[in-house]
Amino acid sequence: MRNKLFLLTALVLGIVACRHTATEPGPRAYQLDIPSGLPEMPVPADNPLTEEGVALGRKLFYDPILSGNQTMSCASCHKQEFAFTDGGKAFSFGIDGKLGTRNAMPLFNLGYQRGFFWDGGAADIESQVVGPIQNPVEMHADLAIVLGRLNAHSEYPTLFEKAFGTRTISSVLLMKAIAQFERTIVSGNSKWDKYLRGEATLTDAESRGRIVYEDEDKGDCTHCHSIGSTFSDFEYRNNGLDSVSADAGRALITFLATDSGKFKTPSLRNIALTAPYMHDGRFQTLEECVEHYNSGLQHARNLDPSLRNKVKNRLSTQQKSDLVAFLHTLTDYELISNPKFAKP
Amino acid sequence: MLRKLLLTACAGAFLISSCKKSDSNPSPGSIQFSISNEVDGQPIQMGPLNFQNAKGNDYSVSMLKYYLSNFSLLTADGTEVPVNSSYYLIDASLPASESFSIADVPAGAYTKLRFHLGVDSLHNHSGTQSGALDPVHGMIWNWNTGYIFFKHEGSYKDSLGNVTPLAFHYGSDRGYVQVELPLSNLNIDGNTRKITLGFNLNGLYANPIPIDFNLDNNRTSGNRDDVFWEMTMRSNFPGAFQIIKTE
Ligand code: HEC
Ligand code: HEC
Repeated sequence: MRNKLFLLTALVLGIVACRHTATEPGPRAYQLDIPSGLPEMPVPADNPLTEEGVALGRKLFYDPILSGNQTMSCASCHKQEFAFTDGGKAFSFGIDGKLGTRNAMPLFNLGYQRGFFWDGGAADIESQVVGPIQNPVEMHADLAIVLGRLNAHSEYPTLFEKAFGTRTISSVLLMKAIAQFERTIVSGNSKWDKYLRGEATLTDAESRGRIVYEDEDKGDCTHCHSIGSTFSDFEYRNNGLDSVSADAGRALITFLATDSGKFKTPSLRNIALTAPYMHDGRFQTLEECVEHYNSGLQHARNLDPSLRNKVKNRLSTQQKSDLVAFLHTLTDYELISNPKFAKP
Repeated sequence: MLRKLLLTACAGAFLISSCKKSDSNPSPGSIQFSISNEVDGQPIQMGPLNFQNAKGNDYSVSMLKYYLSNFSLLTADGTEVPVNSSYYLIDASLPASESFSIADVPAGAYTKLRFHLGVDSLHNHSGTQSGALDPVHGMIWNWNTGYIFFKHEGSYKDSLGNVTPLAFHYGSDRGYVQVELPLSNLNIDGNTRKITLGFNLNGLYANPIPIDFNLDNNRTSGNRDDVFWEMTMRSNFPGAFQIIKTE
């Protein structure tokens, strides 16, 4: 099937190429490499992935030119070695030494998601880009100044021309380029994925942990962090961290009281790499996270129904450590070593 | 082939319609808008603590920016005629932003002008837009995809006499406000009319609910603690606009 598609694409490309003059090839389509455990990724029609666009987005992602004083890039808080999180910090400092209020999120499999940020406030990957650039607690830059710098740069106008056919760099094109790179960061080669493909075997502890993960009376994690594929349904929920949440979460966006204290259910892929945990980085270890679900659930008004009647201390010490062992199988070492995602 | 047919058909239709027009049918005109940003009739001067609101707070303006959008005209029988779906970013420090012209206004006799403060929900949730909605204008939120509809930054003298920063950032789907103003018979028939539209900052801070800067001085839509302020602003916006003159 894939081969057929490829042939078809090649044919179409061939025809298109014939019609154009040979000297202007235009950007080349980027072939997304989706591992077997993940679905096809939707890509918006007005921002198709191209080799040139992705390469440009990657360069921008790592370039401090986007910040006010040119000291901070997206990668300052989203580091590849930590599955594109901040590496151990609950909150990240911006260029002025100001502290944010939420834990930096990992960046992978973004193309499968609908809302971005812990509260889903950013509507799409493109639109999200200008948030951190302008935010006073992050890169704190004036977008007009950043665009001025890019337009006066020795390389960027040419790179934008190659990717988008124009040397004039606008906010829209800046957003599109970075979003293209972000969509290519796909993670689906963990031990768990390899086990499903018959390329790896799980230890006894890992296999037992998987059962706890799915058992409704035990972990029941799969209820929200759906097992397989993206390991989350990305719905907004309250998982009982506080009886009254200091951060209104999703309600900041929807203004609905019923959304107060709800946050986007995060993927549990690469979870061993992204400590600390939760929207405010309150837990340092996976053991603490598991213990939260075992004995620490707070009866918030909007606590998810599936967590309402959970028996306290239902997990044995063995089950807890098995569950953590299973969570470790979700680490994708190829994600953190893939040179395609590294600083160019 | 099909295209050619269509083209001919179109051309034909045009010819017919243009022939008709020259006789008696009314034809579209245009309206030039001039926005007068003011405080109780005083022009807004950026910087000094020149102004005083209904609550007696002395205040200044260092930035005043807001979006106006989706203009329409109403006839006496209440029929709404949309004239323009553009977005205008008014900036009190940029005279060029304070006048704009709307062309192709259908002919008719109009008794009301309708427009909105802010950006409608259809366009409020994408950052990848250009023109007035380009994020480069600094009118988008950092943490969610959406526009800041209105910004007033400056300072005020607090109850102890200290000059303190003032920052109002307003904008959310629920804060998109419709404004409707009476027109004294605006007839459009191939002509250009001029409307001077006033925006009175003191009106915004007075009617129907007065705002006291000692209580509200650093407010942002979406903050839980700022909901009351946001609702007050929403109810006050319509009264802050008035038609100063029609020419
Ligand atoms: C100062 C640290 C910092 C910098 C710099 C930074 N981010 Fe983030 N990023 C964060 C934090 C914190 C969050 C979570 C924010 C929230 O939910 O309110 C986040 C969230 C995100 C998300 C949402 C992920 C999801 O799953 O919803 C994306 C996408 C993202 N950042 C991309 C970027 C890009 C692109 C840049 C550069 C233009 C960037 N970030 C720069 C800290 C940073
Ligand atoms: C009712 C839905 C639900 C269930 C069931 C659930 N979670 Fe969560 N989980 C969430 C939500 C929502 C968050 C984000 C909460 C926040 O940050 O406020 C979260 C966060 C986490 C985090 C932190 C992720 C990060 O990136 O910081 C871990 C780890 C976690 N859950 C593990 C588990 C495990 C293990 C189980 C099973 C024992 C489980 N969850 C069951 C909804 C759920």
